Amino acid sequence: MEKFENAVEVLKNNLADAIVECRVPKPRKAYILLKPERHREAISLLLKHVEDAELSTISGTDLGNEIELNYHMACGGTVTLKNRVSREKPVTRTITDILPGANLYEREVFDLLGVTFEGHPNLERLMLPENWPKGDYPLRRDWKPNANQEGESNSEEASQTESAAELDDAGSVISVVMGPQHPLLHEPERFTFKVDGETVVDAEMRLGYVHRGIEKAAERMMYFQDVFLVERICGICNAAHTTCFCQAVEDIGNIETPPRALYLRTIIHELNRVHSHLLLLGVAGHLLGFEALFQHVWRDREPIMDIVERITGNRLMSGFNAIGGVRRDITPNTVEKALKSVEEVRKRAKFYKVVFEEDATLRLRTEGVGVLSKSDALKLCVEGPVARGSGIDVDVRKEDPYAAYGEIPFNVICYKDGDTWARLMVRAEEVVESLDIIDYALGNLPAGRLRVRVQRKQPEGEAVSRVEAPRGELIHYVKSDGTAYPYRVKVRSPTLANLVAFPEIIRGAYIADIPAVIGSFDPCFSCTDRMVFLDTQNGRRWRWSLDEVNNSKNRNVVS
Amino acid sequence: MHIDCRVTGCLSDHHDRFIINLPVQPISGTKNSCQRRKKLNVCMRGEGVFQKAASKRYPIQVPHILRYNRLSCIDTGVCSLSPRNDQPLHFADLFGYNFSSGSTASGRLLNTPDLGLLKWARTKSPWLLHFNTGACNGCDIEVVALLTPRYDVERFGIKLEPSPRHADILVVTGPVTKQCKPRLETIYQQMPSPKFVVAVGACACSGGIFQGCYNISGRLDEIIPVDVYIPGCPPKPEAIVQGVAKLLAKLKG
Repeated sequence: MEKFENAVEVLKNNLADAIVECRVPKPRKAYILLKPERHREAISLLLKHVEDAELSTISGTDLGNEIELNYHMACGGTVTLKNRVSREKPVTRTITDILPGANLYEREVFDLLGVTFEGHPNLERLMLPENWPKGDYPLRRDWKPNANQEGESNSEEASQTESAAELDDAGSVISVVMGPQHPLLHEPERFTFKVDGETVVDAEMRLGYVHRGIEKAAERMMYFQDVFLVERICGICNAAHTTCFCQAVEDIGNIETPPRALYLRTIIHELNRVHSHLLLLGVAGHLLGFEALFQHVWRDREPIMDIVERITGNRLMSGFNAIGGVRRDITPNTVEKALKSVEEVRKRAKFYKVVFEEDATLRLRTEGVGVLSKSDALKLCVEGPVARGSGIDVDVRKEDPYAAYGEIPFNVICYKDGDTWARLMVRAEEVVESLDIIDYALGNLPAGRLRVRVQRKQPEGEAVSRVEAPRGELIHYVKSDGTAYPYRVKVRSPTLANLVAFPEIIRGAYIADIPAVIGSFDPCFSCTDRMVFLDTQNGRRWRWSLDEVNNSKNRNVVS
Repeated sequence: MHIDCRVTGCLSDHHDRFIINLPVQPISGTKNSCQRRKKLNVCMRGEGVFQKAASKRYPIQVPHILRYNRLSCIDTGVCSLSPRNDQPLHFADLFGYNFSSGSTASGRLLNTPDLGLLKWARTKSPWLLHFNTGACNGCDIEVVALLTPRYDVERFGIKLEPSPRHADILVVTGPVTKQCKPRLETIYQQMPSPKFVVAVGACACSGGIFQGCYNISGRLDEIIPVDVYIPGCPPKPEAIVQGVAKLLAKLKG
């Protein structure tokens, strides 16, 4: 709390001439409109004077004549620095030299809104599919679907043929391609690893296979419908997304959520976290070749799915949160059953923690592999278990309590090692913490209403909402123009924040370590891709996967 | 001499030629099992290897032990391969169907009256290839959950297979994004015939909530033919098992 007030004071004292407007409508949420091109000074100031300040994301909004860039800085709360650029000539200065972690966010804005960041090291028109028409920015308000979408068919084919020669490798460095269809990844993404012998010297990512355009879709649905849309950003952490979105809308509409609803939200949110972490621990076992661990952990995850199904009616998509509360109550009978299951799972979770601590093979495979130092982690703005594995004590639930977290005692798990093992251990211990939270919340459930009536129209305004999703800090930014439809919804998922650090971490590791390191990141590309498409260094190149190379040869042989 | 063995392979027509892919392992506990394992634990691919195995005079009983499938009521089609003057065995002889010419032959070795090894293998060990074409992970998690102890589809011989070349059934989750569409088509082409497609989840069946989004190509059956639709958001693992079982029933004819 003090950190946040300190941050606002610092800005007011040192940048008084640059601040046009400063609003603090809610505790720990500040919106500061700056004069054009003063954002770099403001961000430098925050980084200098506030401990562990990080950039959460950059969101762009098309206001009609201007494009507003919101730099959401996490420092005890969220300080949103607004920098407006003209729509006719959308150019501004980059902040990647001050904060390398802004790299992907600026590219996202560049691609979807057409704002140019001067001085960005690698600002290329890349985020949408290869064949997306140039100068077509889907997040501008006047953008119409299918206006320029003709002739989309063969251009990818063409770009594949062009760049087949690029697989020629220089010297002893060889490119190894993984994905988009690869047993290691259950989601379609493509990594290109440059390897020298067995050592990875560089990594490139190509995302966007899961890019569906949810932010645009959210603008054409009403607020209460959008809850179901944002839920489908990610099937694993759906409760985090709905909680975050509902909080933002409740902020805008000044809606008071009943305490019982807050507790129920917390319970579902934590159940989500438990199943997500167990899922990852199992998958990590699978990736390390520890198949028995995978099967055991997933078996023990089933009781959690059963509780979720009992409470919400569905195993994954809970459809539980609504604006102004929750949609279902929990019966005493269910509470009793849930407590029993939690007890069971807790025993197993403690056992798995011991497995991760004591299994010699597992430690050999993960210790000292993919190390991310604390200073690098801060510079690259990583979030969640990845940051906590590197010794950064960051957790939105503690720092900026939402739902019922202010009243529930729990510990933030933090490891200093920064390696793959530490990131896995953070999750293993968090499972136990989360089970304790569920236990407490179920035992101290306040009585009262489930939800308040909410009008479809929301007043004009804007809100930033943060929650701690299983993979880290999740941010929703909602802007309302006074109708029943949101003017802009912006989502920043934790995986996007963490992916910036991936090439840094994998450099120097062995090929055999790639699965372990990817696993310890717990990447969730359905969250990440909803709006983003990037290729960190490779420009517009297109490479063939090994499968495709085989395929073309076969085709030649056959024909 | 007869050696019990289990079959964990799949059948596929690779390179325009039929290949039988049978890693043969003697069941442990028999005398000298280590020795036999050494000799026989080869992945038999193609007729050449068949000949080699046969010429060493190891008649192979296919398949006697069905523990792998955990189904007791399999019409086993017990057959023996015996060496015949060291002549290579031709697949048309084995299965009664020539894939390259489409002609039928006697199927003198493995063709049981109405259920050849081919069909048997296809229905008893369907290998799935899972491809996510833009799903939210909900369906994907449920597909993976199928493999874990509570649902355990391996008892039907179902296995998730990483390579399209070896897969029989393509399981697709999610609405098809524009970025994924060419990949999906490539993967479908790479799969050996006969191939089957299962659309898992509301998005794959109809586009779901993402209908009309700017980066969506459309529902799955606008792009490749679909055999089974499993609706739900996400469908429960039981529903997916039922969908696959329906597909298997269809295969049996």
